[in-house]
Amino acid sequence: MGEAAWAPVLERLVRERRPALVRYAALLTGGDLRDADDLVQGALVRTFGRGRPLREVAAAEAYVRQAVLRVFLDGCRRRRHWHGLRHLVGVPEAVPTATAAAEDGIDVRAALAVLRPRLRACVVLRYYDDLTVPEIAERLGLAPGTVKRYLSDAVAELEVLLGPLPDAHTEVVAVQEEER
Amino acid sequence: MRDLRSRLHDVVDVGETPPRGATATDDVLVEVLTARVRRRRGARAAAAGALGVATVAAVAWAGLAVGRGTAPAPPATQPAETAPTPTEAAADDRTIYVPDSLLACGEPVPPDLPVHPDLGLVVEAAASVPSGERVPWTLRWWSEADEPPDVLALDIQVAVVQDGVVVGSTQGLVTYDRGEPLPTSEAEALELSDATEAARCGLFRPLPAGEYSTLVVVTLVTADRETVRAAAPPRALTVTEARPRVLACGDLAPMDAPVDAAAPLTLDATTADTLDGDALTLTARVTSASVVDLAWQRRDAEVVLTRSGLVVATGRADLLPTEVAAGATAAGPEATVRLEPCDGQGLEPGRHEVWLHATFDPPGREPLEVLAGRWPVDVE
Repeated sequence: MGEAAWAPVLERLVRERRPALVRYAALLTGGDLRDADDLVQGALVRTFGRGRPLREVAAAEAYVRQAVLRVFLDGCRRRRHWHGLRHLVGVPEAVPTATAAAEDGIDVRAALAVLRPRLRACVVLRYYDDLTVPEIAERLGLAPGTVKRYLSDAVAELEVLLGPLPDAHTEVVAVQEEER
Repeated sequence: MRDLRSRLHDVVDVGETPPRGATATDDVLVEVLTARVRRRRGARAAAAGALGVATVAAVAWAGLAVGRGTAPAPPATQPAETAPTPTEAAADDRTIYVPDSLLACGEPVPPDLPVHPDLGLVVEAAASVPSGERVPWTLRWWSEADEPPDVLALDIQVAVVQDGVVVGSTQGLVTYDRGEPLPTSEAEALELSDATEAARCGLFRPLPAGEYSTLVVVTLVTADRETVRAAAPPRALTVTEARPRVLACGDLAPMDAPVDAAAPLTLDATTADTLDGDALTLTARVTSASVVDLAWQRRDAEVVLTRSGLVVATGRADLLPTEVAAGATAAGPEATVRLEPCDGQGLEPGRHEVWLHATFDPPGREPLEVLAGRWPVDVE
């Protein structure tokens, strides 16, 4: 497949779908749209650089979303070192309370930002991409039990910040009961 | 009260328009991305072209084995009429051969360490560690070549050297399921952070205080089975006297762990009910008031066993989580710690208590000591 085939697909993705892709990536970056933009550009290069026969914009977008996740997790692994350390005894970052959330209409992205990266990824894959627990486990290279625990922990943390989340809470309780 | 799904879809499907980056317009962005993709595709095509039919099957590898020593001739170099079928080739090709280590414990460092003009390599390592503790380091690597190769494996050897002789060494291997393109600039460099035991070769005894250096040698195995080896410039390392233990053998343990309401971090753990010989399984948890990246700041946690209020055994393990979100609790991996009895013999049967002590090093600030306990454990 020559450049003539993939280049127009890349161009259409950039022109038509980039805003949505960046907003999707911002769920993972914790709301930072510039980081999300970098993430999307990296994912586009990774997806189209693989040599896949990408002819349909919709299919290509699905690949790019998967690549966004991989680039994000790779970046988290890379950042796990002493560059850019946040001070251990620094001023605690503001943690919004449920009351504040209700009053201020806190962005769900701000709440996602307090989650650890893998928990955040699990939440996005489950509640935005609608993947099942086994699918998430496969995508992230985790055990299904770990994914369930991550989702349970994440929902508990999000409910502290956002107030009750009926759909997520019900699912988590159902999974816990299944395991009993 | 709104559900999480609809909130996430609202944010993504009808959210704000993202800001334009430095690329300013879609036209420029398309041009930049197209050039990056073309370059990446070109590099991959060049690598695949050099490998021939047999190695094309290798793109579908699910797993890799690793061997050391001399590699057999790569399949692509065999004459066409005797070339193995793709299936056979794939089976044969599952082993990656990494050349023997350049640095051997107890041996002098070779006088001419390899350098490679196309391999960017930067090592950052601790300049000073107390005896008995690990040397944290971060390795960053990238390609300076116009057409960077895909990489199948990366062999990393980290050695502690004194007077030109290797006195401690660890080695690790990073493998990829399939060829992974090297980044082409330092800004996009791949990174790996870890810590190396500052311990005598093969003995696992702490290195005595003194002047050493940390030396890192990297061997890349590319998709076409070439090996590229390079050493980073050595980093000076001072091993200082061992840090005194908060709870040492024979010490009297506190009745309960001190509670400091102002401490930004607290420790907790779940321990096994019984000791398996001298091995204790436990999972540590850290709760923090602010977002903390613990990867560099933490040291190995000390695990202390007391009986009737006296310390009777001690151990050390890397069991803390690597990152804690603000106001959250993060758990480390389940770890098994070997406890060394203070009397050098064995532990008496009966009820004991487990304590966990960790020291954190916030940059530019005094170390923070955190003690937690006392969790019951039975010795049978």
